[in-house]
Amino acid sequence: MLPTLALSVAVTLNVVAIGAMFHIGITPSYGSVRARRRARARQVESLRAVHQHARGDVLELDRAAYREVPRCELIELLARNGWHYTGEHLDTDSWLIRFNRVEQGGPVPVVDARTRLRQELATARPDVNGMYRLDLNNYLNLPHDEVRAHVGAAGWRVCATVPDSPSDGLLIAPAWSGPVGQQHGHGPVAASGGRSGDPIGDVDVEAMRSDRTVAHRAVELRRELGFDPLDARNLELLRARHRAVQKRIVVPANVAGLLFLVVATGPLAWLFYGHFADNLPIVFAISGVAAVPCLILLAWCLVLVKRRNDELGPAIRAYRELRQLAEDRRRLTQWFRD
Amino acid sequence: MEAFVMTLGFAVLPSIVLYQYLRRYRLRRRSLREGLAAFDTQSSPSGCAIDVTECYPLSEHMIKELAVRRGLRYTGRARDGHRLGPMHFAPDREVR
Repeated sequence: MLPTLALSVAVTLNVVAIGAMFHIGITPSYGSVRARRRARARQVESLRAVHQHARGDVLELDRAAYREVPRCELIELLARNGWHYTGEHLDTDSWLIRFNRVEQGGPVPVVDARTRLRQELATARPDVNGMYRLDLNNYLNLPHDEVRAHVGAAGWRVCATVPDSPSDGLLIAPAWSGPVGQQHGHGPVAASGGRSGDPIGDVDVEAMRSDRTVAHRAVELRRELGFDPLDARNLELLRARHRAVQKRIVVPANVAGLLFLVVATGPLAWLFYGHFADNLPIVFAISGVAAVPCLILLAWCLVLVKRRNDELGPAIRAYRELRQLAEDRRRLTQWFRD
Repeated sequence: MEAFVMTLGFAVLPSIVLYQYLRRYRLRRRSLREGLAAFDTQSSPSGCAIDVTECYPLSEHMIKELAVRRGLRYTGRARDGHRLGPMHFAPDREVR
């Protein structure tokens, strides 16, 4: 009776734990999107109560208590109710925002979100990629359609959304410019390499050598690395060495994966389907025996990866930096040409 | 022996989950001082990447406000797998 009870408790715990792992996986540790949206509504609501109950002429808000509300919005909301922003106090363990009460009839300058958005759009200038990154988190109280209408009215067009939190940002380009996104893939989002297993990617040595800034940086890197990164033979040597090292890592990693299957299959089959219930010791013995080479191979893989990063990491990072620099330079010259 | 191994095997997953939730709980209990200190250690005037989780009581809005005080400009966050990576900041040349 007792073992059965213990077993069922344990199985229940594990099932709950699997569900909890999904929960941990999908929610960020500082709160889910919905929880943060609710918190924001609560904080804006409590702001109303705070200013209604304020007695004196000075109001001090704890910044951390209104963490989901941007400061400009706090200032706007309180200005509507006759409070004037006077400044901030920030030291090692407190962060206060100070407001003064404005006398009846006195002027309360309210800078609302629409004005701020129009100002930002008026002063915005496209970057090297011909884009401007509009941070929508400063305009959380404006509906998205209205923001897009303002963007269009200011002579910009929306090219893409960029991931951000709590609200995604917009990537906008001047409306008169051509289809910018089509020439260079997706502008700043383009990230190549890595997929093919080659971390160095396409390096055009000749084009890099002809660019003075890149060549200059390459000379500096040559001093650090001990070889000339713009020599095609060195690049070939590095690629060959990386392939050889990678081959030595991939085999034990795959074997460790297969051994992990051997380790996990028996106990899982017993746990979920009740197989092997009569000879559990054998199942666990197989798992235990297979776990030893599995862990050894895993540790060996980690050692090899560490060695690879120590040996080839600086050179690979150098090539990545040079490629990025050359790409930036190419875009810059194109920008000035257009 | 068998009971011992079984107990151990059953305890693995719940203990991992418990550890994760404890970490979250400890994070939520952090004071503003710790968050500001975490921001200080990660920020640098020549541009930096700031992990939002590390600075917990500070929200993204607060981190941006702090960064603006230090003459940094927010340049966005990249998607890192299915969640967001650190916030990137660059020196703001117009302020200097």
